[in-house]
Formats: sequence, structure tokens, C-alpha cells
Amino acid sequence: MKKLVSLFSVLIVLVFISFSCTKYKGNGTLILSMHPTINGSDIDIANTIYTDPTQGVRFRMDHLEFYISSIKLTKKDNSVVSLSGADAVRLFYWKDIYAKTANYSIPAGEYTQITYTIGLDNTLNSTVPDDYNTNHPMGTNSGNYWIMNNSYIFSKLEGFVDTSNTPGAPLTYSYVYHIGDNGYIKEVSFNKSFTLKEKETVEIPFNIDVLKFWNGPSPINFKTELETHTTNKPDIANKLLNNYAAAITLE
Amino acid sequence: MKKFNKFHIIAIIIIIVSVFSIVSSCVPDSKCDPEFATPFNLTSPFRFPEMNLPTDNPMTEEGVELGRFLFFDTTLSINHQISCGSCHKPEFGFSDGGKQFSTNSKGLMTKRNTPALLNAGFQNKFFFDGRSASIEEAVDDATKNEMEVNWEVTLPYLENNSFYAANFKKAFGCDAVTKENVLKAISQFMRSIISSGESEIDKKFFTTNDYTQLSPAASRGFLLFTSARADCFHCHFTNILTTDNQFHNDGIQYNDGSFNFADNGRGAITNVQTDNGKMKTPSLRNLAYTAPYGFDGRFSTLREVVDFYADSVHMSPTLDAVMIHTGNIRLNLTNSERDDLVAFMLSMTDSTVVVNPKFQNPFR
Repeated sequence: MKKLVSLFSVLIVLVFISFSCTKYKGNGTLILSMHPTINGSDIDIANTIYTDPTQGVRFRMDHLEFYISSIKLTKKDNSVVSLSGADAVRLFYWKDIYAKTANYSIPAGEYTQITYTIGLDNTLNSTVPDDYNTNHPMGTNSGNYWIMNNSYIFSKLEGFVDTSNTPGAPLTYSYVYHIGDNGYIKEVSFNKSFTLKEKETVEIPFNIDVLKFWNGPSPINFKTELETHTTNKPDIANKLLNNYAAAITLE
Repeated sequence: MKKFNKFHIIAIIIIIVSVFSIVSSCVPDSKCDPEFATPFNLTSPFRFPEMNLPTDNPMTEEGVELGRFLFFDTTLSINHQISCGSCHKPEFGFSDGGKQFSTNSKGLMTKRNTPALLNAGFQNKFFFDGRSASIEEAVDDATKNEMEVNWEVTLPYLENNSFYAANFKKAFGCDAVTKENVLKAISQFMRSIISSGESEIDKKFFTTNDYTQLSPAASRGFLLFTSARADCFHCHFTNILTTDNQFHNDGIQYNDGSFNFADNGRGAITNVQTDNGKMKTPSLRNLAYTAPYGFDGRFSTLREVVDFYADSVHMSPTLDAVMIHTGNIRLNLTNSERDDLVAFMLSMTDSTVVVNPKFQNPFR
């Protein structure tokens, strides 16, 4: 009888262990969504003229676009799920059409932190659009490559500005900030606890505080520093990259 | 044991025949199965990217060849005088042979210049305003608007034509003469029209990444083309296809300061006023064959194009930001610099594509 009880106990333990090991199995879908805002409201791309009170300018944003890559998801047990290479690259853009979300298939589990890179690392940047299917985020239809620089354009920020800050005045100047060259990337991490179950979806929304592009930790003069193509004005590119990292926060 | 009489034998024969008949009716007729069509070898030539092919229209040898006949067959149009090939002529890089506008089946002029179709399979938006998201959609649009195909007349014509009946069967199986398959076949043919690898820029620059291998004039043109000064590269040098496949207002149209243009282009599709005046970037490959230039064909020569961008770009609220980032929209190019830019653009000429027999009109 004792043997039977022992055997039964062992069985229960085994079943319990087995059950706990399979608590999270399979994959679910993680959605990262980005929401560019000004003063807490979604930005009206290429349409509304906004005021930047810190810089004393009026401006319109026509085009915002950036890559993220190399996703790392830390689990509750401190193990890390890494998504890297071209398959993990996503392109967010707001222009004539929008791409505000990025989907990833990741193992079900309990997670505590998400990390990703703004831009493309040197390995990815050593490839060319012709290496990919035309519709891949890094493919020919993205329009984000400089042949003569042998580099992808990791981010684009474009629009028009009235530096006189006169209501009703035309937006005389344009601003064009294109960042792209080896090393011009920024890894950002966010503490975020979430549980993803098999075949279920979890969305993590991020806010992009647009005014921080100019008024972040590395201020950019919105009246005089209106252009960079990275290699010609690397100081502006570096400042903007710092500000990107500061502008993106968890909602 | 009872002997078989003749009734038994007849009964057995009937049963065998019936079973065979039932079984054979359950097995698909291989002649009706398009799986038996020959896959088209679409190896992307010379550094070209992988084409994004629709899963419901895989390319086959039979489909492409059928598409070639349909592309050039004027019988499809309502007046039996217009085919796709009437406006997209192979000898002109599949553009309309020097015409600013083309003539549709009603005898009316088109609103915009006919775009060249070379390398269309690598794109994901079609027409200058990007209103079609696939070649199939674009062909549907053209057969509806320019050719006014009356499918109730055209489909019976194709069904009753022994050549087409046989070739639809080869490409798509039995009962395959449908509007959908006409569009698919023409789309397959269009995807097969690829031009690359044979031009000076392919042979001397894209294989070496050394622009000095180009002719002296083209080399100087390359430097200007890719400089912030002339700034052609933002739209035309982001990939080997020489189009970013995006929409820009490049200042061609006069504007009175409002958001309205004679042709609102992309804005008429998105209904967003700040997209007004934007058009899709055309490829610069084979410009030697595709004159005139511009979405409305207003430029007769490449020199006129360069002169315009150097001297005459129109300001407007939707002008592309990269065109005025220095606060100035005039380029101040010298005469020889303008010639160099033209020389560089002409280095993208592939003279083989316009005479490739696979792309020619089979009715000639």
C-alpha cells in the first residue's frame, strides 16, 4: 500500500511538473505600435501647423520614418528571446500612407522588458535593397538607401518651418533630417511586464513626443539646424538620434 | 459450381465499365490542370531584387506567352483598334513613341503621358498616382478605361478562337477563358519585361561600385547627380531600379499658393490635400527610348528636363522638402554640368531590351 501511495505521489509530482513546463507553449503575436504626438494628441501629418513654444517656430511635419531592428525580450526568469537579422527589421512611417504597427511572432511567456535598436546594425547595413524581396522593409520599394554612401537611411524626418513664428505666414523653410551610416543607431530598453499566451496577441503602445526631436537631451536649433544627411553634418545627426531615444516612451 | 452464362458475362462487363467510368471521373484530367504548365524561370537578372509575385498568379511559360498575344491583340478593345501594345510599344521601352498623350478607344487623349512598363514587376504601385496596388489591378484599370473592353464580346471571341482556346487551356486549365485569366496572363507577360545588366551603368558602375569606370561625362554627371547640390539621388538613386517608388511633388506644376493643382495626382487618390501635386517617381532606365518626359510629357528632351529642374521648379505648399532644404530651389548649373547629367542618365540605356524577340508584337 505504501508503495502505491509513493507511486501515486510521484505521478502527481510528475503531472504537476509536466503541467508547469507546458504552461506557456507555442507562439503568440506581439504588436509594437507607435503614436507620434504633440501635446498629447496624435500628430496630424502634413496637414496641421503646430507651434514649438520652446524654439519659437511654427512648423508642419510631412514625413516621419524609421527602422527598428534587433528585438530582445527579457522573460521573468531572465532568459532572453532575441529576434535579429533582416527578419526582425520593421519600418514605421507616416507619409501619404502610414505603417504604425509592427508584428512579431514570439514564444508565449511572461516578459518583463523589451529592447530594440533604432536603425540598422553594421551587418544589416552592409546589405543592399537588391538583396531582398521588393516589398521587404529593406527592399527597393522602401526608397531608403543611398547608393553613393553604401548605406541605408535609418530615419527620415521632413517638413516645413516658419522661423519668424508669425501666425498666418508661409512656412518658408524646409527641414530635412536623414540619419544613416554605420554606427548611427541607438538601443532603447523599456521595463514592461506582460504575459503572452499561445495564439493570443499583446500590443505594446509607444508614444513619440515629436517636440523632443528638437527639445530632447541634445537640443537642435529649429531655426538654423534644418538639415543633415548624416555624413555632411554628423553633429546634428547624433543629436537627433539621442533625441529619438528620449522621444519614444511607453504609453 | 455454377457455370457463367452470357448474362453473367454481360453483367460483369457492365460493372467493370461502370466502376472504371466512376473512378476515371474522380481523377482530375491532367490536361485541365494548370499545374502541368511550365514554371517560368524568373531568375532576377544581375543584382535585381526578388520580385514580389502574387500567390494566385504564378508565372508560367504558357501564361507569359499567352499574355504576350493578349497584350498586343487589338481585338480585345471595344473598337478593335487598341491593344495594350498600342500605347506601350516595345521599341520605345514600352512607352508611346514620342507622344505626349496617347489615344484611347474613344479617340480621346489620355490625361497623362503613358509610362514605360520596363521592370514593372518590381514595383508595388502603378500609374503616376499609384491608384493600383498590383499589375493585375493596373491591367484591369487600363482595359476598363483606355480600351473599354466589353467582356461579353471579348470572352466569346477568345473562347471561339482555336489558338486562344488551346493556349488558355495550356496556361490555366479547362474553362479558363475568363476575364480574371486574361488579366493574369497579361500581367505575367508584363512581369517578364525586365531590363537590366546590359547598360553602361550596370556593366561599369554596379559591378564595380566605381563611378570612374563610366565615360568621363557620365562620371561627372554621377557626381552631380548624387550631390546635395543637384540632389537627384533622393528619388532616383535609392536602388538599382532608379526609382524610390514613392510619391513626390517635384515642382513641375505651376501653383498659386493653394493646395490645388491642375492635376492633383496622388492627392486625388488619398483625398489628402497635402498629397496634391505628388506623382510616383519614374525609373530613369532606358530614357533614350521613352521621351517625352514628365507625368504630362511636357519635356521633349532630357536636356529640357535638366534645364527645368535647374531653373524653373515651381514653389508650392506640397513641394518636396528635399528640393528646398537650402532655402533655394534654383540649382545654378553650368551648361556643361547639365550635359553631364544627361550623359549620366543615358548611361542607363539598355539597347537589348527594345529588340528582345520575347517582348515583340506577335501579330507583326
